[in-house]
Amino acid sequence: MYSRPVLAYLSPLARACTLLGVAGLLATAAPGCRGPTLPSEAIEPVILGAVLPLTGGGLEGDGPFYRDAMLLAVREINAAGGVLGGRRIELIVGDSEDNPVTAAAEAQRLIDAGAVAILGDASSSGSIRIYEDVTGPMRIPQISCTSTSTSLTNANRDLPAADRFFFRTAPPDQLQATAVVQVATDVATCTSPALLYQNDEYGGPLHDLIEQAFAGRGTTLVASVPFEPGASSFTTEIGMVRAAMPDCIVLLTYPPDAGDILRAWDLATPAMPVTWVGTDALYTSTLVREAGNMSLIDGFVGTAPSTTPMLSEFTDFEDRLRSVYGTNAQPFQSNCYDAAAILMLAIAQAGSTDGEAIRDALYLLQSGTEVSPGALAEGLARIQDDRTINYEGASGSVDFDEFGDVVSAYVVWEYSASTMSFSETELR
Amino acid sequence: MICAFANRLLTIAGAAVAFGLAGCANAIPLEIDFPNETAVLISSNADIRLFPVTEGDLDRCSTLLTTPSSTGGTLVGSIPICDLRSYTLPDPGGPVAILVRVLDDTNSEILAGCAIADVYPGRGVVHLELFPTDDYLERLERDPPVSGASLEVRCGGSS
Repeated sequence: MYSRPVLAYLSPLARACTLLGVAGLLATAAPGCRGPTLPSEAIEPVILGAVLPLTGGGLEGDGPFYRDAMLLAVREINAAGGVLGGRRIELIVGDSEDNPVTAAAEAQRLIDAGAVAILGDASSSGSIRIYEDVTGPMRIPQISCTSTSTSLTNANRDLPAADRFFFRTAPPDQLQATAVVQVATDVATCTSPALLYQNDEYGGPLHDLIEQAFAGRGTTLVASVPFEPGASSFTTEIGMVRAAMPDCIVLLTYPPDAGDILRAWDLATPAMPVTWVGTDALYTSTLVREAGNMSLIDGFVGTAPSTTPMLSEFTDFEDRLRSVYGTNAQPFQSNCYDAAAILMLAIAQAGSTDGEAIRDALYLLQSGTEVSPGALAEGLARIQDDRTINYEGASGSVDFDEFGDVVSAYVVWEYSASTMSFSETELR
Repeated sequence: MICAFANRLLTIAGAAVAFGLAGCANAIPLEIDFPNETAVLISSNADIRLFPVTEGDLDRCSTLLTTPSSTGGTLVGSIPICDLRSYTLPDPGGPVAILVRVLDDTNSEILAGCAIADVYPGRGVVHLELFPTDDYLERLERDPPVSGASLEVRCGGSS
């Protein structure tokens, strides 16, 4: 790899200087005339691509937070000298516009620009589209830090192990369904729940799981109503739910549609107070903005993976986040830091930017000396010494199973209009 | 970029230093990327050390960073933060690991970073990113910059 003659790497100016030096005209003054001694490919940056919603229809308020968490990990690795012999990491970001088609196109664009792996998308629909259209066929590792749909587990399950390239640092919805039903039953004390869900890769599979989980507790849904994401009106669907007279509504959607639905429900007559139950998709300040009126979401409860766990690893992460950005962690930022961190450590572990080598290396970071956020330099040093490391992340252990999934604890969140904030407690 | 102004301030522009050969300036531009403006304001000095490396030793930065108070290599400067604007990195004569440790006014290391660079006259900018140490946040919270502090106020007349 390094056998090319040094002169081949010299710029024209340096080449001229070297030739002058060789001629003996300036032999001792040559320090000013040296050229590069390393081949250019040895010091080129390693490019990672991130596909995230920065504009668009629902998650665009959160995309910048996810990006910043990834950039924090990139800064940490670069400050430690980079990977693969001093190569810097360059994170290039594409805007999915919260649209699966755009997400796949952006992933392809980033790969064409040299990205050796993809982080993202945020939505499950976007992640699936990227995986099926781009990263899977191209055998390029992809890690989402927020997509939770079981469709992604199933997509890997349908493939031979050698063809699986999708991972995520957010847990799959199999776990969340159980948590949602536990919250609806034990916290919101629902006895006649209804389910109102967006009919896509996120809401569809999660609806099925929640329905099963309610049935497992002996509870039958009084209504189960799908709707099309981004619909201009939800009057019909709300009418169907109202006709069933629920005491709780489990709402599976993102903030923009949730805002429309909450307002439409509030305007319907006669008034029918219900307890709203949500998921991780609504655990965001964007919900407050989209609802427009805090009273509409007062007492709204829900579940989410524990993205701010009471772990020293999370504290280490949040301290760095506050140091660099001056803010406390937002939901899923820890997962996004972890996704970027473990990907870069895997590249170092693989000693290569080859997709299969990186994919295989992601499984090698689960045993050995523990490495945590804020100590990625130590992880790189140990990998360099051929020692195994166990990456213990800000969001949890980040130990991938055969389908690229991780496990996580869950929290119960609740919005209070009086304090104008969410509160969070651990779900036991 | 998190703090473009800080980056501009702390990019070592590298005044051309000729060694008697027209057109072969010996300046090595080094861009030190601080996380944000506040990080600059609570920094006092930057110790810059150079460690010669070879093709087989290009992973050296992580080891240097995780070795407490690495004192090997060549200390090429203990530079007041504001003076970074006019500081010129000397030509080390080949590939190096550049280790920068940033200290506050109590000599606590609050930021650190390392970069591998094939350094030769006429090359492009060497980019080095800094990351907060374990002591950074405690230092910031114990003694934050005064209200209204800015890079212009602190460094405006120096260099």
